Amino acid sequence: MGQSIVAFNQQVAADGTSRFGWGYKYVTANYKGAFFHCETASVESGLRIVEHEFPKKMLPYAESLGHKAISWTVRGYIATFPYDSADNVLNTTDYTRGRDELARALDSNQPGWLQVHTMPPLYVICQRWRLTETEKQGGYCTFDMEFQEYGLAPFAYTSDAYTAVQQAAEALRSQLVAPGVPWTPPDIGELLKPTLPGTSGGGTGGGSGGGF
Amino acid sequence: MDKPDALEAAGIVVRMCENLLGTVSTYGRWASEARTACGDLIASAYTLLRNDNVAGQMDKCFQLIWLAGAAQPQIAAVRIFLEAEKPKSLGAIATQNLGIRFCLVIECNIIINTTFISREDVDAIKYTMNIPFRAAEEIAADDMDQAALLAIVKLWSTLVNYLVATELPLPQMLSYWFADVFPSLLVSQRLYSDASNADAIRDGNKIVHPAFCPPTGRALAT
Repeated sequence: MGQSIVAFNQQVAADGTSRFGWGYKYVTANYKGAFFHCETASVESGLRIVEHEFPKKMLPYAESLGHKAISWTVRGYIATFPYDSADNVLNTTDYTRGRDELARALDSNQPGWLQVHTMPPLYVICQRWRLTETEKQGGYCTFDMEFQEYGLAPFAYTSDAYTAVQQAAEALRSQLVAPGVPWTPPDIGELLKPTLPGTSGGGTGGGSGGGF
Repeated sequence: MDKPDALEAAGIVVRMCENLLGTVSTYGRWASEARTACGDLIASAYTLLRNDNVAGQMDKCFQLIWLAGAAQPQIAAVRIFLEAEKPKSLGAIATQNLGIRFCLVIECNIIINTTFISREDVDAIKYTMNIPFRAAEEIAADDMDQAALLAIVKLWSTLVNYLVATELPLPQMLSYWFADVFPSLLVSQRLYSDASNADAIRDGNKIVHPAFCPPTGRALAT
């Protein structure tokens, strides 16, 4: 029983009589909460090194341009369990539930946390995945998944600064006028019309203009 | 509002309206509407204050003043006059704060519709606006007026954000120094290898005659 292995390892660690130094770290693999059994997982990382070679010099210089994005290649599988267990979607007689749940998570077009067994979780996005089912192995499917480290967007998204000031100004204005309604111009379109001498546009309020 | 409060507040409103009228141009539909609205407010200030209903008419005045083309320094002058008032009664203090906050709203609206040409201009506005916003924030905080405080802080922060975003792509102003008096065309050619900025140099340095630019001045970096 997959779940019981995890429970067993954790219990051993709690007793302080760990037979496996790493056992208590073992957790069921999942991506965005969609569980799967992990067959293999490989992580690729490193540094972005640029090797400078200089003319007439014997020694090169390896310049580090920073950390390389971590990529994970994971092969997972979901298999039918002999009986239904309420606590884990993996332990059910219908393996398609776990399969579809994982496929939805992979296809969600959003980053999420990937947890693979004893490795620390990483915020990743799925770059590519392949689901394989064979007739010979009924009730069993494999997922080949490739993840990329999501990291952080270089510029945090902010709303348009102009609109933000407008909205904040309107909010303060509404608050000042409350419980009344802020005044709005009678015909804002008039602003767009050129005011020419002799046209009716400029004469509407002109008569009352000199009252002070 | 009580009668003594309303009487004192009416004086503030009338003086504010008179200052506002000083910002209005002498022609145009919105200018005449603004003058009418300010006149109405002056005439009915006491009644509106007694009925606690002055904010709507004041808002109308400020909006019309803005539509009539008032500039930010003009509204700032109105605000400074308001800040210089020394009201004693609670109602008058509230009216003074109301006017100051309306000024801030209009100033922000004017600023975001202004085209800036150099970072120094934006910096100057940023510095100028920090002072009244800080004061308004303090007053709202002291009054325990959380709604106004939040609205003021939000307006202030969005304005600073806007100004910083506006400032980034703008060129800086640099000082130049030549050995002699030159025509603006020559100055522009020497600075930019392009004589087309001659008018900008003349305007930026307030040069009386473009043929005789002083040897020192300031010009855009690019």
